[in-house]
Amino acid sequence: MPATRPPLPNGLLIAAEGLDGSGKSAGLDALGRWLERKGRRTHLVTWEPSRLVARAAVAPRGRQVLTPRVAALLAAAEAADRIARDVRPHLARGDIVLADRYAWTGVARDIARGLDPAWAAAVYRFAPRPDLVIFHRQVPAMALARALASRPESVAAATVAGAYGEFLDGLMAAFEWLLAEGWAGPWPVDVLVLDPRSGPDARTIAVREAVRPLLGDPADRRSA
Amino acid sequence: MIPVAVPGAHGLPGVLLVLEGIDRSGRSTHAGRLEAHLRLAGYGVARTSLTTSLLAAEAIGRAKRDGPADATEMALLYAADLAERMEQLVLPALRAGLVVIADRYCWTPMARAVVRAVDPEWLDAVFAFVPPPDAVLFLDVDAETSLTRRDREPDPYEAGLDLGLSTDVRESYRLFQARLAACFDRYAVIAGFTRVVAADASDTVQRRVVRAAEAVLAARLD
Repeated sequence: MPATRPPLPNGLLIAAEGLDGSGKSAGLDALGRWLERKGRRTHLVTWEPSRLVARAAVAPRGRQVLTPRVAALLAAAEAADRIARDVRPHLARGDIVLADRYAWTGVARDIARGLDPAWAAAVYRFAPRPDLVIFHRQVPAMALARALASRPESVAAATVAGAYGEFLDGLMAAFEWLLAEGWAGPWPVDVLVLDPRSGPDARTIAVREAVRPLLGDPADRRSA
Repeated sequence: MIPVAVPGAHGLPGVLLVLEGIDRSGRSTHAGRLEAHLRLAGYGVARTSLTTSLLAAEAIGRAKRDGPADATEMALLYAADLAERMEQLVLPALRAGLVVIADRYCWTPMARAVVRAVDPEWLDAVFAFVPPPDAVLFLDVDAETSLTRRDREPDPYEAGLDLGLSTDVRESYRLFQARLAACFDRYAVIAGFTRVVAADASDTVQRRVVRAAEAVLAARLD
């Protein structure tokens, strides 16, 4: 075990974004292990779907009033609570926070549900800006196939699959908009885009190359 | 940008009258009395108040009980509460040509967040979805008057105890409400509030509220 290094002054926030089954979780897991081997303290945060929205969606009266804007604001409120409890304290301690989905996911879902992209992005400006976003590009058809394989009973019905496929197309378009219009998202941010056709090793190398300069190690700075 | 009160700016046939002010300025009392007065005068009226939505109100109550809640989370929950009431009540009523009385609008939650150091520009962007009212009747009382109108201890949230201004709940309330009042004074200028002196007896204030409301209705509906 290497000795634990002194914490980074303001911590680091690295967010993995992308559709289902694009390899985000496995990639963050590998990154976390690599950072721990380098003596860094990491903390994993997952971006859970909103409990308030999920509960409203199954209640007959709740469903009637659950419009895209109400859902967006309820989900953002829960995200704010999670960030206050689970992200900011770790950044303040100097930890490296690894976020399995982050604000881009919230923004992309709201855009895919038809809300004005500029407004949807502005809502998430409260979230601390990541030092790096690792964007896992994915073909929506692949994400749909993954969802069908992992949740056959809920998604497999042809009508539902059709609607879900459309939603995934909308999500992907929203992610691409965030990528292309960096200034229009919640904050300008450095992004590493991972190609779906690249192999796991190439991805691991690309992620490490992007993260290394953020760690503030003198040796790494020389080689950078 | 936050909405600015301009008669007819929402572009719908109805009239949206908002009452704003610090706690114990008489907002709910005068909203109720104005509703009764306008109904007697033959207007179709709908009324809506803060935290009466189906989905967000419960979460707001829970967050206050479990407190101190994160100020950003509270602002977003209040925005969800407002969004639901806009879509379910305010906009349909305005489309139907009714007079809508809103007992508080976006400014109360925004002021509560600003005094808790939430970025005002972010709040402007989040609340930008609300339609501009025809008028905001700002019930202007100072923090001292608000405190003397309380018959029991203020609750911790209304007293802003989470800000650590004072350990004494009444003193904290006075300091917190004074900060809110300063915030409303700024909004009054930026967002075109109609100031109603509200420290006098209820009947006197009500006459002022009715006069201000009737002036807006005359301008809009004649």
